[in-house]
Amino acid sequence: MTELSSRQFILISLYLIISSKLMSMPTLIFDYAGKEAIFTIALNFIVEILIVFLVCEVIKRNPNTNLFQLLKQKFSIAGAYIILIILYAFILFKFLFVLQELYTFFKEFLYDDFMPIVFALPMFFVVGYLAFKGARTMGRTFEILFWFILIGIIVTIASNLEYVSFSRLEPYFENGIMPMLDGSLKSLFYFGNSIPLLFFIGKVQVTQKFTTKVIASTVGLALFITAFCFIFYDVYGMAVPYTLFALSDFAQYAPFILDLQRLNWLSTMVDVTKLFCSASIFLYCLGQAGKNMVKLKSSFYPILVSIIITYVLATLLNYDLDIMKHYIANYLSYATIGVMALTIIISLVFSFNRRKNEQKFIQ
Amino acid sequence: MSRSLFNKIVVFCVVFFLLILAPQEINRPNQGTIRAVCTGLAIDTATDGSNLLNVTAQVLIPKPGGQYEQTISLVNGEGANLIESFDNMRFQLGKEVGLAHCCFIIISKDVSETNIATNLDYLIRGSYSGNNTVLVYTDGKAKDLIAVASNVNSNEVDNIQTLVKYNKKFLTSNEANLKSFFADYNSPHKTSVMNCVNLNKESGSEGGSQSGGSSGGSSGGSSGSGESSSSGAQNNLPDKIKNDGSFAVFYDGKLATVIDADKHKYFNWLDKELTNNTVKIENITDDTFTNATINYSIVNKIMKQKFYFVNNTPCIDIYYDLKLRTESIEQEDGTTYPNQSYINNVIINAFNEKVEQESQQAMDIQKEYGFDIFNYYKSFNTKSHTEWQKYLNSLDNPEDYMKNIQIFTHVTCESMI
Repeated sequence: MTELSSRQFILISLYLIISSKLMSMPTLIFDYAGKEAIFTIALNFIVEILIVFLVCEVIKRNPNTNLFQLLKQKFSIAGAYIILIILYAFILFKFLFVLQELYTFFKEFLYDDFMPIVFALPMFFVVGYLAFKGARTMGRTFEILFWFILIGIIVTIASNLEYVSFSRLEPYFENGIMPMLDGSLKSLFYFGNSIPLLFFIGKVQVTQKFTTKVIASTVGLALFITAFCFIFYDVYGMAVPYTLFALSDFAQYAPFILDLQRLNWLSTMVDVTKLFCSASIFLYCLGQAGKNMVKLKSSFYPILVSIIITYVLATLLNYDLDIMKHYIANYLSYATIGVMALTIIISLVFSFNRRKNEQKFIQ
Repeated sequence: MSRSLFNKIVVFCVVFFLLILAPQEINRPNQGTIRAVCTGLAIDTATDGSNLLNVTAQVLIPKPGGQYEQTISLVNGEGANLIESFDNMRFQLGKEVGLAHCCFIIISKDVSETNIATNLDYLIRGSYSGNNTVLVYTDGKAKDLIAVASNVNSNEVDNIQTLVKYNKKFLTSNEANLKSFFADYNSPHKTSVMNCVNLNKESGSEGGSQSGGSSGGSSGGSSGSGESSSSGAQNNLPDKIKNDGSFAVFYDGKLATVIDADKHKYFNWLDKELTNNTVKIENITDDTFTNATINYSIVNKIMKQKFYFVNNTPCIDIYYDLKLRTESIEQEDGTTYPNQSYINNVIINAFNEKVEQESQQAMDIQKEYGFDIFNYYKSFNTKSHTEWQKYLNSLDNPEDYMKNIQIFTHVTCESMI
């Protein structure tokens, strides 16, 4: 049964892709890639867009079958379980990271004395509720929030345009392409956000030029994020490593608003809203994975279990974003390569097999 | 799960969270009681000659009541670094020092002789203060200046923020704030610029009293852990803040020199962003005038730079396209020129000579102190990385790269009525 319109699916993919990319990502990439960070972002986006394309093709060719059914058909039950467990673990880390970012954001920008439990309870409640209500509810909610988020980001960028010189970090590639490639590897975790789209197979109402529309929006968003990062790097120059969350620091900077104090109330709302949205998508996917693995009718218990696991992990990590960023750069980004490869393989298998079936049918 | 059970769980969660969170939020003390709003900082070295830092904070104290009222206090704290100084201030205030609204940081000459980046590092790291907090250098004691700034009546112009904002537009195109300081500090050219704001001591001595005098004025100025008091009421005639257009240049985090107001205009020729300038051309003798002095304002300045290497020497060709407005003509014999603008070949030649001379002087100052305000390092490196590296390698000290850079200016002028 289709739950989402094409438009809602596009929005979900956009929320997933933008998730943490205007938060801690630009600084982390600059730490490893240096001045070539902008090229690293462009390079990694190519991989992300490729995955979106492949998943769209699978969705288009399998309009009435969900991921678990397809996996069982092609990889047997054992294979399906293994793949689902890998995807579940990967998305769990994604959810955990969004949680850490949100907590750090609240602690750094809003409250000094902020108990994790006071943050976690309402956050899990809202995100869990949205995830449990299903893809259709999420899609509708995202439709309402989309313009608010887009306008907020554009206003924030516009506030600093006066200080863009377009050449502050030149010349590029002084030390060859290795810093760019190193940054690319260490930050790949941020670009695996399109992988959870697999869980929307069989739930989207495929319309004409579905893939073209999704890819066009994804490319548009990729260009938008790349442009934002370029402006951010250009305005901050070699002071980028001192920043924590790109969009908030960017809004906080704007010298022309010296008299008006800060513009970061806007970025605060935008950042929190988009992180809540992406967290709910991740949790939804965790719920779907758990539901199919344990063969439950409802995703309530898988969502609850996922929340408990995430909370325990976050507590063990002391909600420390720096530790999480260390894990991202040294372990999770390398693990992302494997998960991306797996996604590409299963997407190709699903698409290829469908094509064979189609040929048989024609004969 | 049935729909009714789910709805019951949702209602239970909402009530549960309300019971836990609502009383906590209702009982939360207002921010004013737990946090002092710091709007400006002054950083000096300790008066006892030790290596300690003496930090004075301009703090807003909001008052409860029907109307929005607040007073400004100065709080002083000493410590080996900013963190210790703020710790001492916290004890004095009984509150956290909130830096999110800190608009300016005044740095004294004493502090500037050491690497100020190590001190300011605390402020830019994390989100303690805004990255657009303006940095101001002062020749005297920073706490004297902040004491006067705290006295400023809202009707007066002597407001550090207003002055710095004006400077940004007309005197230095550099943003001169925390972000730009660290961006420059971490760049290869290592040169950053700060506005220089001083106290006009004459007005203070005329008044016979100095608001922020050497004892620290209203802040009490004790060299101990600090004290707070209201400023303003005790002062008879406050010093005036002097902003004469001079600016301080920092190289590698330390003060290199202060460019005074007279020399400042030389640097304006090399600044691409600045267009609002007045230029005085003296000793004009032509068919109309003899030894006349004509003042022009530059309405529009288009500046194009060409970077190249000749025999391993970096050279810059600067092309100016100036749109001028004749502002005044001073002639000893009283000859007048009725038309609004007066520009001819004699004037253009005089302009050429003046621009060449003054921009050369700006370059000479940079060569003398070894700093690079306009980041020529980046421009040459971008132009040709290989040739620039070859040039740097040919130097005994690659950090002295400014010394061989040659500039050549070419001016075209047009009248704009």
